[in-house]
Amino acid sequence: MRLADFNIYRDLLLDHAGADLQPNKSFLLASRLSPIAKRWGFHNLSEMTLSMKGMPDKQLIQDIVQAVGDTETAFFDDFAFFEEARRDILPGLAKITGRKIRIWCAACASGQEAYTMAILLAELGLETRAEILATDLNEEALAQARHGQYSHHQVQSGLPTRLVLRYFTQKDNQWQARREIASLIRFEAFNLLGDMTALGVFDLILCNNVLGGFAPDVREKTREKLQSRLVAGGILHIRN
Amino acid sequence: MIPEKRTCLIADDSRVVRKVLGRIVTDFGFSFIEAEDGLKALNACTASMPDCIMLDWTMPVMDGLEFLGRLRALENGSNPKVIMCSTKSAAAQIQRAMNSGADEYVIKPFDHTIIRRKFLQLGLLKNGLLS
Repeated sequence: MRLADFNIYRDLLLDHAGADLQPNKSFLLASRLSPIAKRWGFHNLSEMTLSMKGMPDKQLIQDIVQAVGDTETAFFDDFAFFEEARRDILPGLAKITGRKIRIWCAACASGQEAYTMAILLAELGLETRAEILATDLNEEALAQARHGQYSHHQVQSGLPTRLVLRYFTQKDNQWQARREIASLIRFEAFNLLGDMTALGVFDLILCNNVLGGFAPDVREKTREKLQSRLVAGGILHIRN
Repeated sequence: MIPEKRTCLIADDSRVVRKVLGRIVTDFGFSFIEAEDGLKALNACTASMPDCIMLDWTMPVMDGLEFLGRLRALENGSNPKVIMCSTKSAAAQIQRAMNSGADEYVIKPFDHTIIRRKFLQLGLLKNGLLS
């Protein structure tokens, strides 16, 4: 990306997110912006950049700010969060006795997040003491999640190789999640706009990449509903 | 004092792959040197040990696996993070590379996202654009 183009985004991020982007992140910036350009129907990133010089759409600005502040969707995608889960959150939950640790992936998409949680639990030796509920509205995504088969690209764009070899078996050109982790997860169709009370309460709820698409009032209401599904001291992790 | 740039050795017999990887690690703030076979890579390491190595498996003169064994036997040879980068995709082959001293393994074809995630996992990069 040319410096003049980079500076357009740099100013925008400073204005809208108070973030100061360094020029050495130019390549990463481009990699995050290209999918947005595609989604907005621009032929390429340059074309979107050109339109940023005029009066850009407010929603487009918001999408850009969000994409840059955001991590990608994949295994170990929310790198900082999973690191925190491994180091602090899950060992903290290990103190629970007399019942299972309950985790809910509230928008599990094609399942990577749920399998990542299962792997972290297994790595900590907690696999028999925890259960994961993974829900999504999209039946097609759920089917892939249940199937638990991923491409080379999907596993290696997030998981450390050591964990791929340990928790997946190779099947044709795909990687199949082992029973050891798959058995921790129950996949179910669920709409976040529906009544959550029947699901019970949880020690940890993850809700990623979905609330951002809701209208502000619906987003707030859903956040409150998720909050109400936590045990005392439970943790709600939301990334819009 | 400006800290010296960290270095990445790119060992691959394909000039195109070296070029692509060179561009990626430059964006990560690394300087890089290139080697087209394992022996040249080993000589480069003897002259000056890099911080990380992107290593092809199949190369003329000395292949990646032999290089890896010799590297790890060198003084300071355990320091660099080695990411093996190969079209070999069978679990047993990947396991073999990891057992031989690779820190990470990438099945070709790769993209910048995959390389970036591996750099993150190995602590060669910090997370987030804004950090």
